Amino acid sequence: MGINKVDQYVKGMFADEAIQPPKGAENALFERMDKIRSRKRRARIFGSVALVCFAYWGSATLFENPEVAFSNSEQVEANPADLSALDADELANEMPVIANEEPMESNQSEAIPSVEAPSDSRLAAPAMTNAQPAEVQQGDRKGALEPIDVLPASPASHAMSDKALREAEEERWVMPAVVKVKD
Amino acid sequence: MDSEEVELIERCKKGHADAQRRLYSRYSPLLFAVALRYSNTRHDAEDIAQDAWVKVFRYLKSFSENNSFEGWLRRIVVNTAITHYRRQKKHTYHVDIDEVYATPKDLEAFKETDYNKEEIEKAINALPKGYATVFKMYVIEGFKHKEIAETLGIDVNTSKSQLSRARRALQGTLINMARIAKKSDGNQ
Repeated sequence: MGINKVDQYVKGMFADEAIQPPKGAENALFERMDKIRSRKRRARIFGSVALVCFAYWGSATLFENPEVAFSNSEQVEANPADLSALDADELANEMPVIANEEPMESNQSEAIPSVEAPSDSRLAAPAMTNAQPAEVQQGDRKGALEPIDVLPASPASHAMSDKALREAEEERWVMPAVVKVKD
Repeated sequence: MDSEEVELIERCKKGHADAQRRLYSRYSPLLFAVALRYSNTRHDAEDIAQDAWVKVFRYLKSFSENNSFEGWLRRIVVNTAITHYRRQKKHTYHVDIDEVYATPKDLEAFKETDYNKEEIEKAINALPKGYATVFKMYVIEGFKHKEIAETLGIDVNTSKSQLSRARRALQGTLINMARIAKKSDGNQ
């Protein structure tokens, strides 16, 4: 008798073998399946609740303590509304300090001395100090598009009088200035 | 597969409990028989069959209707049984014991009609566990050597050599059984 015949003979004996499982086996299986299903459902519910809680906590932390988000950054973006509310004198007192600091930060020290704040108009200082680095950067980035949010730095604005500027401020938006604070 | 079976499997895939019960009642005798073949005790077979059914319902979505459902079930049961015993470390698949090999003369004298199912079952179970497993997987369940090797974590050539040895050992065992039976008949 050849190998294949033995194989066929044995296979023929067992291939269609069927033995009835014990009576309780079916119920035991489906009870186990139900337990698995309910455990999965509970895990899914717990997971989604945990996700919602985490999302809520995350958003609450972000909106209630916005300074956390900026704690590592020294850059403070001034609010236009705050800027307009500032007293002109206060601005004038503070701005020269910033004007001296800024060029040191940027490596454009040659360009800075040539620009001076107009003596007749102290309020023009914010516009100048904000505009100067932008001008310098523009010089470096030839061909780059001019940013829309940069304050006008034309000579006409330098020559603006206090009165004219105040009038203009009432009508115009003062765009946000980026101020770097150094220790 | 007939259309009724395909529909039943589709309903099971969607999680219908009544369909799952119908599938169970249709295939549980086959599945339990396979589980018994690969287990040491009936109690083990019950555990293996239940674990296998849980796997069947869990992985039914991955089953494609182009394949044989019965073959897929057999594979799941055999894998479950092997995992079950591997976890318990009750037996190994590389056993070397003194075996009774059939001689060519014995093989010539070997006739299938001489043995009934119980005797063959007894002879298979008398084989070293590794040989018996490879033999049953290849001959009865229809696994390929590659599948056997992957399932048991052995080399394909090991699977082939174990099958060859299992065949010879099985024939030797059956012939010995026949001799013993003849002797006992002669004494009476």
